[in-house]
Amino acid sequence: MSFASIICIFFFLPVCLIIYYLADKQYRNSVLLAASLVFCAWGAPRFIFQLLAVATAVHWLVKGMAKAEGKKRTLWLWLSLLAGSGLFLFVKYANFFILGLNKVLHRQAAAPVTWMEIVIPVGLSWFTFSAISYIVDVYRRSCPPAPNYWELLLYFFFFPKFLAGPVTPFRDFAGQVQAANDTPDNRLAGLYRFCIGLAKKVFIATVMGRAAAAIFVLTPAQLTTETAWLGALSYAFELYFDFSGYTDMAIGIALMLGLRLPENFDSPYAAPSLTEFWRRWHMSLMNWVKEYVYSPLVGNANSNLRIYASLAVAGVAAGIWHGTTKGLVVWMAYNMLFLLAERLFLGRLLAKLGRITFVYTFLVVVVGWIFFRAQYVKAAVAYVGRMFTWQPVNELWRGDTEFYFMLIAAFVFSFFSVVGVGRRLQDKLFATELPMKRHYVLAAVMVILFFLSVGRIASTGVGEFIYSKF
Amino acid sequence: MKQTTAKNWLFIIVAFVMLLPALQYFTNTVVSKGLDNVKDPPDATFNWDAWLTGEYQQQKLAYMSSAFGFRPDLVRLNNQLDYWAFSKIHVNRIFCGKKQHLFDSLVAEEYFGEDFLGDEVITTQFLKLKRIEDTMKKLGKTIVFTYGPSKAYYYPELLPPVLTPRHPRGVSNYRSMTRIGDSLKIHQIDFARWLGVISDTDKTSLIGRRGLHWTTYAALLAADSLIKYIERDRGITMPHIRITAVHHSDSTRDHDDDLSSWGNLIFPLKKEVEAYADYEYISNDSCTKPKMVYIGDSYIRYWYHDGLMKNINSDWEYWFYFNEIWNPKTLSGEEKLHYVKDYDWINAILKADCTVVMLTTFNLNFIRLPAFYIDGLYDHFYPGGK
Repeated sequence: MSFASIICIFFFLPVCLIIYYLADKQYRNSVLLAASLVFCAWGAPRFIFQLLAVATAVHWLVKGMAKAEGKKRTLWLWLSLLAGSGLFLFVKYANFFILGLNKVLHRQAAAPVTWMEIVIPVGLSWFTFSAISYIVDVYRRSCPPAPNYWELLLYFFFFPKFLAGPVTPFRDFAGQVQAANDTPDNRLAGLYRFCIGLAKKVFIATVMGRAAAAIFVLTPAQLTTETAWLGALSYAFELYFDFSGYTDMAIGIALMLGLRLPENFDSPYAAPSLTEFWRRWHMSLMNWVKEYVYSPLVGNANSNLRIYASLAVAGVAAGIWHGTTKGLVVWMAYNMLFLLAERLFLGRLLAKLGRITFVYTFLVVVVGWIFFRAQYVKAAVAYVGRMFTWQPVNELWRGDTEFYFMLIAAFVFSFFSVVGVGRRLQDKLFATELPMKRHYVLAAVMVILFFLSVGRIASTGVGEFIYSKF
Repeated sequence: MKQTTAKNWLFIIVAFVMLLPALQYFTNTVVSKGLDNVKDPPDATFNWDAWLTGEYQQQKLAYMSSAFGFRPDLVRLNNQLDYWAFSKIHVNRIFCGKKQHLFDSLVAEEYFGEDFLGDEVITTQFLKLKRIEDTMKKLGKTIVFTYGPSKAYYYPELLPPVLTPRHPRGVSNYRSMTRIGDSLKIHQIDFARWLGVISDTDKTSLIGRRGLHWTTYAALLAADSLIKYIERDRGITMPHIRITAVHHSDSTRDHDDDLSSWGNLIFPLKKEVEAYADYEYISNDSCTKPKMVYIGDSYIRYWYHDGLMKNINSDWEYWFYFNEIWNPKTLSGEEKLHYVKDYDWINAILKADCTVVMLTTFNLNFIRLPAFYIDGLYDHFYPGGK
């Protein structure tokens, strides 16, 4: 069930919120759990049983781990990690390995392995991140195990984050669930955030996505320089506004329930370097990778080699989570090259140039997204080639007024925090406590934005969120 | 405390306003006018199999997305704002040009030559058509090739920028076909040019601002011209159309407003004054009513509505896009619809006294199709091309 669907906006969410607010505080977590299971069962009706089995296994294994010490504790850890991530690893990468194996068998003139390609069920990645986070946090004694099975289920299936995050460590979630901060300020802030996220998805992401889809089906020979750039920009903005729109909606819903989910974005396209970009893009995942992949690898090492190797492994892990196509591999290598360059010499140069370096970051990222999107490296290289060589104008694709309007809006909303006025406006908008007058204005604006968004959904529809497919 | 209460009430009020569509769905308090040309999906029926496969959820979502409260009003609001802000009409392929003129994108594509077949192809096909015409003439049959008017040629200055290429090719199927047809002395009636000439200052009477086709008035004038052409060619006297009065009205009729109603706007596009004629068919015993086949698109439907076929033909068939076969019995429901591919259409043409082909922007490029009547008749008369 997409947050931007009519059935969610007008039926699931209102019913869930009304029952939640009317319920006695001691029953609210039960209401949330029930709503979350309904949400999950709606989108993954068969798969929910497998997830429940994994959650149950993790619960019992972690209970055992929490009581153990020394080597036994480590053994329980690995068993728990296997239980928590085995399904994900199998579903996500079995296709890749079987394809690879069949290629080898084909070269050896042997019969291929018969295999039906597995479709990744919605929410599996995020569920697995939650499971690993829980297991490792308990192992490290960062937090005790969940006091009961139902609270753990609530953490795993919490519907605002189930589809596509934000990735939330158990220790951050557990404390909140015990005493949800359901204040009027949070409720209103959550509502505003939800409306903003919906508008981002419905207006900017959808229009940009439509243009990107139309341009990326053109062959390289059909692309003009102008069209290639417009396609690249459209995709870059589609990705950002789709995912940040989803995140806003997820955070907004959680806030209305009195819970805080971590932020995922901090004006990433306005970052002064690629290194900073990756600190501002999909922050919850990056923090998760840092904490659960990079930190265990690097340990207390002082050696640069170990640090770089750990960084490389963490980067690869974050990259292959997105997928295993050749385009993604090139995308990972491309980013690592620039990150390494910034570490070695480029970073110092960028620091001297000041705020304007966000242009460099944006260009590097936009080109990188071409490989991220492409299935085939050759096509991506040809596409990038069309961007940087002059190709005469043709009429195969032309943007209309709506497209250019949304493109300008995308630029404005992506980069307004570069200037002081923009940053101050953003702080005023997202401040925890707002004066009543500002609430009245914001509320009126959000109601208008909400109905415009719903009107757009009703008229032209809206697609699935991109990151729910990972 | 006061602020807390105010914030609580603000949240409740805002949430209530946002939930009005949900309340409307359950209570159906306000009756909204439905949307034009929109087919709503049926509601989903629950069963566990459908739930487990996800089919129930998909159907339910589709149903709820069309059935939720105030949906028609919200759609109209969206469409109206899109129209005001972006001159966008939410109808497939339709764009709003200057002065609120609506254009089908196919019309612009043809005008700018984006589907241009090339002079070579057109010449090849027209040479075949010329031979066919000569052979039909020897058999005592008339075959008339006509061109229906295209909005892009009438109002090129009003085409929307998004449909206008930066470097127009300057060629098009219509331009080449009329030129090549004239040079080969093909029996063709260029209604597009002729109507423009006779009504130079009253273009909206020929193709309206909000319409896709020619107007009922233009179709009537063209019908009258067609009758006279067939009379001359066959040396007969046919029933005539007599126009008794011409009115000018902004109340559109029939298909003259076929585009804008689909746009589902709050404020429909400005009406324009168009010409409408009162007319009658004059016939007597000396009149001959030929048996005719009409091949073309929905432009010909106007002749059916005008009563042309009923009044001037002893028998007739209308082959829609050279695919569906309509006759008096299929139109009344007496017989089910037939299709050209299952029909001995060559025989039908040879049995008819006259065949009229109407080509418009939407089917000019059909002449190159092997399944179209040109190649079919040519192969029949000249097997192996001899």
